[in-house]
Amino acid sequence: MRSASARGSWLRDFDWTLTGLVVMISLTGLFQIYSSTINTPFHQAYAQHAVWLVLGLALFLVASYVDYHRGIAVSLVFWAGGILLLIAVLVFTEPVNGARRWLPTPLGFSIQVSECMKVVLVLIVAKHCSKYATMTSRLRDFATIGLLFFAPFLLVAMQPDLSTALSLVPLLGMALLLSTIRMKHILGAFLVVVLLMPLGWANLKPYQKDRITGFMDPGGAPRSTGYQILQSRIAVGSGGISGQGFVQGSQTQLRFLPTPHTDFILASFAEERGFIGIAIVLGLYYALLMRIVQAGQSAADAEGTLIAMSVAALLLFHIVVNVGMVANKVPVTGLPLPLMSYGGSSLLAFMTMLGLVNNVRLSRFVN
Amino acid sequence: MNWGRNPQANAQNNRIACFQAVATVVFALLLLAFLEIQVVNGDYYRAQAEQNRIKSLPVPAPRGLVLDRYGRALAQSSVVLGAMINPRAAKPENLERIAAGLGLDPAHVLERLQDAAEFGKSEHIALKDSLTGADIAFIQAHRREFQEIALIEGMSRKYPETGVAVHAVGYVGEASRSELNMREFLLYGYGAEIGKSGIERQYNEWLGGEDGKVLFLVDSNGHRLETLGMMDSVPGKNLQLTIDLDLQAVSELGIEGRKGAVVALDPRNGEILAMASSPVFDPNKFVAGLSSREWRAITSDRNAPLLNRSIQGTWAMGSVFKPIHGLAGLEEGLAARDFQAHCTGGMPFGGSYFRCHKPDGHGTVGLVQAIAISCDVYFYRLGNKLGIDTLARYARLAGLGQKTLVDLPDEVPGLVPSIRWKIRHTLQPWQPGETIVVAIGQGAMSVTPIQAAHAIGGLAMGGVWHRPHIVSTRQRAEIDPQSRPAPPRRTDIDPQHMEVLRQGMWTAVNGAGTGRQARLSGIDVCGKTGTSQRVSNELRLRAKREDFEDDAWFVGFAPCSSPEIVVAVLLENGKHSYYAAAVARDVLQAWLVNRSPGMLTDLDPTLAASNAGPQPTVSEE
Repeated sequence: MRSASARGSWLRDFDWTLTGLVVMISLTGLFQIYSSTINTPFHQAYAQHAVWLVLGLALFLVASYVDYHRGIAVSLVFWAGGILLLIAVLVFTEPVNGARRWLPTPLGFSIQVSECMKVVLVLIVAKHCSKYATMTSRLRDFATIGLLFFAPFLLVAMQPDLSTALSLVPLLGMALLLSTIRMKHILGAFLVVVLLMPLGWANLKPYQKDRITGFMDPGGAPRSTGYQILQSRIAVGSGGISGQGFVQGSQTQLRFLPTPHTDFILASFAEERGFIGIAIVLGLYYALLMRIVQAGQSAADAEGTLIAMSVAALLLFHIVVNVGMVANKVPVTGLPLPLMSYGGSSLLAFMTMLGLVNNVRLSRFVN
Repeated sequence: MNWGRNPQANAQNNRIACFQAVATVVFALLLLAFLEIQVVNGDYYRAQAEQNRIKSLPVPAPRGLVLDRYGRALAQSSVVLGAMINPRAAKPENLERIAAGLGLDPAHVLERLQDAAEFGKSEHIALKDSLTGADIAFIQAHRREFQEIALIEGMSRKYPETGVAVHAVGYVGEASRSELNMREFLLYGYGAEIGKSGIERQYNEWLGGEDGKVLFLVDSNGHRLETLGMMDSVPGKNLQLTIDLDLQAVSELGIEGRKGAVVALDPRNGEILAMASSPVFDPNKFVAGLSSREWRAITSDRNAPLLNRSIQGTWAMGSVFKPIHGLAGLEEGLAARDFQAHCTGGMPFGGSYFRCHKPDGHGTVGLVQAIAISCDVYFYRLGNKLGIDTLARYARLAGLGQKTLVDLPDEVPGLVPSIRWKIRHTLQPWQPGETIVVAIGQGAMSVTPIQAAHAIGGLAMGGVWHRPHIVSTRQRAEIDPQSRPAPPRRTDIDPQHMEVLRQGMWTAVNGAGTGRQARLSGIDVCGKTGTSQRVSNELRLRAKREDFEDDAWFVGFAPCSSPEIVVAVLLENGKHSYYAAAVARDVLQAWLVNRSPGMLTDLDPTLAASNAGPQPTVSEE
C-alpha cells in the first residue's frame, strides 16, 4: 500500500522520462496524422485524435496513481466483463469489411473491445503469474492461465482479427519467460507452435493468404496487398535521408500510399521525414521500451515486474509487426503502431498500460 | 525488491536481460532495413514515386494541309476528341467492358495492347479516335474504374467527303508492324499515324510535324491535378501540289464508274496537273481504321481500287506507240517521205497473217497518214525494217521501260522488250514476228499512263522530257534546299521530222483521223489513239467477257505547235479509243477555261460533258 510520504513526493518521483517519451511519440503521431489526412476527406482526423490524446493522457495519469494492486484485485471482474463484450461483438454487430471488431457505445463512438482486453490481460497475467516467480510451477496453474488467455484469444480470432489475437501472444510469452518454467519447456512449446503453422495456413482466410503471398512477391498483385507493399516501399524509399518535408510526400499526399494515417503512418512519416526522422522515432521507441524494462527490473514486487514486462512485450510485438511491415520485412497485418497510429481504442489502451508502468515505477520504494 | 536477491530472481533478471538483448537486435535490424530502403536505394524509389505521380500524354501535331496549285485544300486536319490507353496500366479484366462501351472489338484491342508492349516507346496508344458523345459519356462515367484511359484533343486527317485525287494524295493510318520496322519510320512508336500511300507517304516527314507532350501530376485515382510542363507540338507544314483541282475533278468525272486513269502533265516542266485513277476508295475510312474484314474486302476487290493506275499499273501501249515508232523511222532515215506502205487490210509475215484494224485496208499511206489513221500495216513494215532493238532504243529514249521517277511511292517501270531481255527472261531467241507485234505497241511492251503522257509530251516538245513531279518546284526547294530539279532528258530531233509527227497527230484529231472526239474549237489539239488487245480478237468475240475487252487509250496535247499540256487517258476494257479521246477532250476543255477565262462563253457550256455521243462514223484502228 502506498504511504503518505510517497503520495506527497509524487512530483519528485513522477517518471518524467517515460512521460516525456510518450508525449513526444504521441505528438509526432498527431502531426503525421495531420499531414497524412489534410488532403483527404478525413482531414478532421487530427482533431479527433487530439481529443483522444488528451483523454489518453488523463487515463495515463489515473493509471499512474490508482494503486495497481487494486486493479489486479478486480482484474477477474474486468476479464469476465471483457469476455461478455467480446461475445456481444460477435453476436450483435454486423461485419464491417468481413469482420466484427467494433462495439458501438451509447456515447456515439465505437470501441474495439480487443484493445481494452490487452489491458485486462496485463493485469490478469500479473495476478496469476506473480506466484510462479517464487513457487514451483504446477500444471494446474498453467491450465488456469491457459484458460484465462485463450478464451479472449479465440474470441478475437473469431471476429476474425487474427493479427490482434496474435498480438496477445506476447503477454503469454512474457508470463512464461518470467515464470519458473524451464527454458527447454519454452523452447518445446515454441517448437509445437512452429509445427502447427502449416495447419494454421490451411485455416487462413483468402485475404490473409494474399497478404503473405503479396509480401513474398509484391510485383505479382498490384492494387491488392502487393500494391500496398509496393507503394509503401516507394513512399519509404523516396523519403531518402532527409525526407520530402511536412505535407510534401507525393506518395502520401497524392494517396498512392494506402491508410497513411493508421497502419501505414510510419511509411508516410518516413517519406516526409526521411531516414533521420525514422532514426529519431525508432530511438524514441527504443528508449521508451528500455525505460519500461527498467521499471520492471526495479519494481517493488513480482506483480509490478510482470506488468511492466508484459507492456514491454506488447509494445515490442506491435513495433516488430508494424514497423517491420513498413520496412518491408514482415507481411502486411492490421496492427497499428502504438501511440502514433490514428485510432482511439489502441491509443487509450496503450496510454493506460503505460500509466500502469509509471505506477509500478512510482511504487518501487514502497513495501 | 525482497525477492530480487534469491536465485530464482536472478534467473528472472537474466531473462529480462535476454529480452533487452532481443529488443536491441530487433531495433538495430529495423534501422538497417530503413537504411537500405531510404539511403541505399533512395534514388531508385524516388524515381518510382515520380513515375507514380507524373504522367504524360501526347499532344498530337496537326498534319499540314495538302493544297492544289491554287491553294485549294485536298486534305486538312481537324480537332477531334480521342481516347488513349496506357498499355502498361491496362487491366485485362476491364478490356471487355471498355471495348463494349466504345463499340470496339475486344480481341483487336487486346492484340494492339500486346503489340504496343512489344514495341514499347509510347506511353499511350490510341484506343479510339473521333469519339462520339456516347463514347465520351461512357469514359467520363467510368473514370475512376478505367484509369488506363485518357482523353486527349487529337488531330484527325480529313479528306473531302468522296475524296479528291485519292490515289495521288494517298491516306494516313496507324503504322503497321512491318512499317515500324522500315527505316523511313524508324522514329515512330507503336500507334503512330503515318502517311500510308501517295504524297502522304512520300512527304510524310514534312506534313507530319512532331507531336508534343504534356506532363502533369496525377493522384492515385488518375485525376489530373496540375500541369507540370508542356512540350508544344510542331505542326506539320503545308504542301502545295501542282495539281489543278478543276482538271482533277473533270478527270475523275470522266472515268467515274469505269476502270482507268487520267494523267495530265505540263510538258514544259513536268508538273502534274491532274492524276486520276478509277475505281476510287474513301480515304477517310482508312483514317478511322478499317476492320480486318473491311481491309480484306478492299484488298481482294478484283477491281483493285487501291491501285493507282496512273503510275502503278501497266498496259500494252497500243497505237499510242506509233509516233515514237515514227520518230525512230525518221531519225534512222528509214521513214523518209518516199517510204510508203500499201495497206490491204493485213500483211502476211513469217507464215502468219497480221491484220490491220481496218479489214478492207487503208490503201497507200505515208507516215503522216499512217499516224492519223493509225495504219497497222505501215508500222508492221517500218518496224520490221528497224528491228526490235532500234525500236527499244527509241522507246527508252521517250522514257518507256523505266520509272519516270515521279515523286510518288511505288511507281512501276513498265517493260520495253529487246532481244537480250527475251533471252534472259525466257531463254528463247527473239522471233521476227514479235517485232511486228511490238511495232504497234502490243506484245510484251507495257507502259503506265504517266509514261504515256511523259513520252508523248516530251516528243511534242521536240525531244525534251522533263521529269514529272506533283510537288511544285518552289515547294521542293523549301523541303530540301539542296535539291536541284532534275535536268530534262534531251535529244536533238530534226525539226522537219518533228513537223511530220506533229502533222500526223494533228490530222488524227483535226483531220479524217481516229481521234476526232478530242477536237476542240478555239485551240489546236494533237493526239494519238490506241486500242490494245488483251486477248486475240477471236477469243474476245467468242468469250464476250468484260475483262477480255480491249483497253482504250488516248494521249493528246495542246496547243499543237507549242504544247502546254499533255493528257493521257486509259480506259481498262474501254473497248474503243473513241471513249478515251472524249475524256481527254473534257480535260483539255477545262484546262482551256482556266487558261483564258474570257473564252468561257465561246465554249460548250456542258464542261464535263457526257461521253455518250454519236458512234464513230469511220472505222478506227
